[in-house]
Amino acid sequence: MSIEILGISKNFGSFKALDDVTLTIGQGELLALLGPSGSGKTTLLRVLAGLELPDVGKVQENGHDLTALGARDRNVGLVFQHFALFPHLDVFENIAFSLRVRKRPPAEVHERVEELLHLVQLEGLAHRRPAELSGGQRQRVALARALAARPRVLLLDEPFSALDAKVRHELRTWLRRLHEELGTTTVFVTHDQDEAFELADRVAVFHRGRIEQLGTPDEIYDTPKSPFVLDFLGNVQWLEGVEKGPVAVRHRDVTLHVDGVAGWPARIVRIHRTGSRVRVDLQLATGQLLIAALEPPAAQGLFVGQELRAVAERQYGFGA
Amino acid sequence: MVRILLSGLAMAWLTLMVLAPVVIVLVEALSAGVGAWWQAVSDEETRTSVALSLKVAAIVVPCNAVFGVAAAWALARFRFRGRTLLLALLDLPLSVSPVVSGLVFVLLFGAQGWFGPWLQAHNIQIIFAVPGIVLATAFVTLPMVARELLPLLESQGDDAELAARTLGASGWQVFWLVSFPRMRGALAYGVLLCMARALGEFGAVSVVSGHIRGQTDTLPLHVEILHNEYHFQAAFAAASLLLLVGVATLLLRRLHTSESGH
Repeated sequence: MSIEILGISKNFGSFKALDDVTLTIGQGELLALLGPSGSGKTTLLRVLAGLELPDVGKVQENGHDLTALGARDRNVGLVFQHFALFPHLDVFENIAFSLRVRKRPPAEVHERVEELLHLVQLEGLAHRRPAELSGGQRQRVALARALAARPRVLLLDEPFSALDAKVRHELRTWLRRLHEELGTTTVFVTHDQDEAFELADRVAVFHRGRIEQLGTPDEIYDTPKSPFVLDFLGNVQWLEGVEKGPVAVRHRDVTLHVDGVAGWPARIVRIHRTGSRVRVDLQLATGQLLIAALEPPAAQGLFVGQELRAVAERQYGFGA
Repeated sequence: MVRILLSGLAMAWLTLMVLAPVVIVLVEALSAGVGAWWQAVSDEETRTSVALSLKVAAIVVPCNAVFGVAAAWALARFRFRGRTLLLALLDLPLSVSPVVSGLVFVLLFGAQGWFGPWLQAHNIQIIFAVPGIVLATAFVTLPMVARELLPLLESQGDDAELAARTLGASGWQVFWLVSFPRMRGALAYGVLLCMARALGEFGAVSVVSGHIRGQTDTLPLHVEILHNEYHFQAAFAAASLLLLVGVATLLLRRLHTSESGH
């Protein structure tokens, strides 16, 4: 089952939240909608969920128009940013909700909920209230609740943003495995490129209500189509006057050569450790600052004040 | 030092203004013994006034509860034309003197009022009769439930309800399975406040009631009548019933808040 988004536009007053967006989501795909806040990614997710009606355009499933269907009849599983669990119901009844409103027989409800509790590894917590759970546990309840009625597509709105860093990483890995196990077509919204790249089969980068670039994580990282995409991926800086026209250089593409002749003359002004890499701040002859993110061995023996040559292994020019 | 001074001041003022009157009402009510209190309370006219007050509350409270839920819901969840106006109107009954509220109903439905001739022609009596008392009480207590619910609904947000919709719930299912259970506590307290106020309303009711003994005298009006006729002990005995309603309301609220833990 593929979901086709055809020429969707949506305005809020004079603000263009979505501007002629077209996108096909393949069966079983895990797609990330990546972009800064206000870029339209969450609006698209809400349009897919049936919570927002587009001004123009259609949502189809295998050529079947879904646009007019409300959230209730669309059978999509939506996981909210802050989970939106029902605080007055326990874990079991939260997960059972979509089956209860469909008036499924109690035995079937029980069986399905047990299955999901096992899937999200919360077997012992069926009778806890959401307030008695940790963030990661709530997230998994929200996921189980969204999956209970076997939705045609699973939608996740910033699924990890409300969690702390350690839990976030664990859940990412877990979600990826879960997706491989279930094969449910999944779309998630994020502003964090690491998250998008680590999880998704394909990434759609949003900018001002449009899809700026759509592709696999490799395609987007290696061949960013626009300065916006390159900037948004981060750890990059723009240099003027060292080449013809402005060029962008990623920190990790800079190498330093003590006795080279090629490259830009530079002087080290600061060296410090940032997690797995060493960051070296360099002053170029033009006066601009250049940052090099080196593997620790490559930074051995460097010192502040040292004069050397900086080489950008890759430069991005964009039509210059 | 400042703490002692301020808390001492607050305590003294509260004792003077709140505690002392409560004690005086009770002392006076029981001044001639429990027997006399019971006699005053079970007096024919007192009983009919209590019955009338309860009847009025029984009509007004459910109406205002339904209205309050609907209004709070609409105001918290939707942005529509006239929303600001509705918000302002909702506060009007609280900000206008109850006497004025009563007069409005006299002007509308009284013999000389706008609808007076029509009502008379159809032999319908509203002013100086029970319908007028119900209307005036309903008006004065109109915002109590809505005002209690509105801040709660606004702080809860609508995520849970949207989630319920995406999970396949119909509008009614969303309301009964998600919204209503989450507002139950605040609704119960709003209803309690509304009831206490409906039973105790004096000003507006006084204007529309006509003070017909045994017919249009509510409990608060009856207290005034007894007092005006120098039946002080009986007046305080009847007043102690109203006081009981107030204290019960507060106790129930404490119970409710300690239960829900905030």
